[in-house]
Amino acid sequence: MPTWSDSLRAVFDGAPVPGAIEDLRGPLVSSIGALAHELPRAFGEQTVGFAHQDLLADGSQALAIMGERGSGKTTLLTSVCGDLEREHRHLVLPIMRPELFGAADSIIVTFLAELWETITREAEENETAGVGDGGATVRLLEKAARSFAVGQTTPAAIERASESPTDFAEDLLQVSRSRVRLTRQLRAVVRNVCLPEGAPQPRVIIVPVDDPDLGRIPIPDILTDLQILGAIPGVVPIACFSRSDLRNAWMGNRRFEGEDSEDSNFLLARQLEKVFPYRCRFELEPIAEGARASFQPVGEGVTLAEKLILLHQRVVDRTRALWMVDPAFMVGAADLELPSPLPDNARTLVQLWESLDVATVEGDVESLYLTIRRVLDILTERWTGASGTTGDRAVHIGPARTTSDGKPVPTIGQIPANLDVRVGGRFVPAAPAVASIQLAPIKYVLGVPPGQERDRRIKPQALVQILSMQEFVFGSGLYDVQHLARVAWLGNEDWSKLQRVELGGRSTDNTFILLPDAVTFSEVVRAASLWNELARFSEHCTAEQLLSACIRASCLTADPAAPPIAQDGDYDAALATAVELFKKAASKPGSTAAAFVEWFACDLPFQWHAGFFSSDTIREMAKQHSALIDGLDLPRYGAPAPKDTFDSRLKRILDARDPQEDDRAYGWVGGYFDLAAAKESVHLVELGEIHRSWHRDVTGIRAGASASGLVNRTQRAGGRSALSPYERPEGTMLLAAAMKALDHARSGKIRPRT
Amino acid sequence: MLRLDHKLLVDLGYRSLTISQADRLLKHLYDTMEQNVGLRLAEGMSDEQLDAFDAFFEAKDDAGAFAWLQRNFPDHKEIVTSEFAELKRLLADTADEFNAEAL
Repeated sequence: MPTWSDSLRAVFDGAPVPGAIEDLRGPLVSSIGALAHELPRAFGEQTVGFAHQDLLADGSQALAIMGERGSGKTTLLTSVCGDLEREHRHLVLPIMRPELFGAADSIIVTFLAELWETITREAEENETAGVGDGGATVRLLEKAARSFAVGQTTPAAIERASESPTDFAEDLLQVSRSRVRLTRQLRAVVRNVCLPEGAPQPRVIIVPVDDPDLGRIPIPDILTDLQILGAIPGVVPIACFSRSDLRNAWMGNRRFEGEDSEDSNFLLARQLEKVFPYRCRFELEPIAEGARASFQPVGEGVTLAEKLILLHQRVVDRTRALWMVDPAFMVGAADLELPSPLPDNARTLVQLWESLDVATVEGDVESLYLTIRRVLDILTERWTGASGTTGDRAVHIGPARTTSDGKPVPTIGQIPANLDVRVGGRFVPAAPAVASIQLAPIKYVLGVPPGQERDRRIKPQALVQILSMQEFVFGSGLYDVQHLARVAWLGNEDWSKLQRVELGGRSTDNTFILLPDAVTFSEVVRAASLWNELARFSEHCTAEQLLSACIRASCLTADPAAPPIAQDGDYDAALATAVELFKKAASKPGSTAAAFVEWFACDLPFQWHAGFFSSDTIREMAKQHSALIDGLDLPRYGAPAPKDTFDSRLKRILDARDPQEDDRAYGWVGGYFDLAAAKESVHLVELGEIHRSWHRDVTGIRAGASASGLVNRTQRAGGRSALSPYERPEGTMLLAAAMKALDHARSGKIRPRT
Repeated sequence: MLRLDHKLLVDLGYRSLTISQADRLLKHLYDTMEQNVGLRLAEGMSDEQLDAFDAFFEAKDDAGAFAWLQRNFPDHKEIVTSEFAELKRLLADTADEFNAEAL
């Protein structure tokens, strides 16, 4: 990788630049050509006297290259200057950097100094191609510089130098005249430079200015200088700046002056319109999500994606983790409102690209850790700022543990978000059935601040930075994460929100269709996509097929080569696949394997309810399951033992019973009796009592279906014509009231019978 | 034979519903009735009867189950009729209350 600005030199020399910059390069150069073409008319040599040109002066023609930090403004400016230099037509002054200005410097002072240097050098090098006027232009330039210097004299300085009020007034007048003269003198200089006698075509003076907002000089003064220069035909300032940085600099200055912020905003907008008319603005957009992975610095032949893939390969070679970086990591998952974690500006992309260099050394473990540490710093930049811990690292990687397997121990800063999902559909009242499952798709994934502010949402860009940090820290298997509390993740609470399960006609706790927890960016994207596929599949399948599909989806979170969700609806086959994957994942590091193992051990048995399976089947599956997970030490986060997970769930349900409520509302829990017996649950006795209620519910559903054959549901045309031809608010509200009344009647809370 | 149709809803005060809304309400009414009837029948069964009735379903013998129901619960038609009447009254009360508030 080049250093010491070699890459900018390549740009200046005409090396290809990224697409967004290339797109603006041509139009910018063309607009400079157009200004040069207009030059003779602008000076109005034929029609207007030189002294009157001030009256006809148009506004500034300064060009602006706008874009956020790192978007490539300097690269574009450099590339345009290079193009113009190679044309050998215009005068391109060196790029001004106001951040390097001294206290007495300004844009105009520097312009005069650089112009002096340039035209004297040009005169020495090739008299005929430059200002061949025998020194007249240089003399004019001297006068202009003197006028500028005099014009800078402050009233206080004049007062100190004056002996009487009359002298003071005369000196003050002299200073004012100098200021007025300056513009006229500059015009004269520029006309000589740009339209020299005998030159084949007019030329302009390019005044490139990089980041004017970063200087110590107040930004209003810089804008005024640019406006003065931009209004002189033949001078084309090109300033590149970030609109937000410029605004901050302006607001800071005006606040210092005691100005109201609303007024300041208005004044800035007006000032910018005067300095940089809209037709003169060239805006660099952030790099599109789809283009970031294919990014490669100027003059380089390897893309960022290729380097990331290599890094991934190095990590997996070392850890043997089931770490699958989803393709969405490179481009984002727009359907889930998760943007790409890759930076959107060229400068940071270059730095990410450069940081990945060390990882390419095969077998060098230290460089691998160093690379990831740098990558984490880059990818979590916004989150670190957003969490109010600017200056702190989002992740601190401590030394390796001596007692464990020698992996470094990460410490994660405050995670400002919990993951949440928005439900993308509505659940409708289910027809009476022994078992009924409805799934809703995920509309999008969001981050909400922890605590009470559940209705707020953190910015998606900050959320993906948290998830991308978790991608490396949890997904890679490189670190010792045993001590870490759970971070932002999708888990059972989220899957529960997305399902409505009724058993024996009773509402349940909706904890049956579960996928492994998702903690990394890739896991979240993959789990959410699989869930949505499950939700679509659920619209036209039986409960058993859906349970089987859920197992298939869970396997796909850990093994993309596993059979598809809608493979065959064969529960036994799906279970067999899960068993094999469990055996493989149990010995693998990384969050993907850990989540699958935890799902297999703790969540899978939640499917084994009498509403779905016969008593014998449940007992057989539970027996085999216990044999597999017996003595298993769940690999992460101090998760409870599988049996405790089942007992905890039962306890939560049983403890939540309302003494005032009909016990039958919880009859469905009795359907876990066989599983509880096989797993030796501490709640077995309670479930035995409830099991009778479950049995009665199921029989009731079946008896109701038999008896209700006495009802005729055929529609008659007469009734239809009396209904409303279009939807009305009162109809919608009445329907809601009636449905609610029936719900109450159905749940048994309010029995309509007297 | 009991009828669940649009005319029933119009008679109960649900003229402001569209056909699609009426269909949704009728389905919910039917499902509620089916479930409540079933629960009332099941409540009246002994453990032996529950097992006997379930046996038909394990054998996928719907006709046998219905015949068993007719034999052992000869009043099941009255249960259906009574549940239907109660739910009709519930819907009528809801509509009356809603329409009165709307006025």
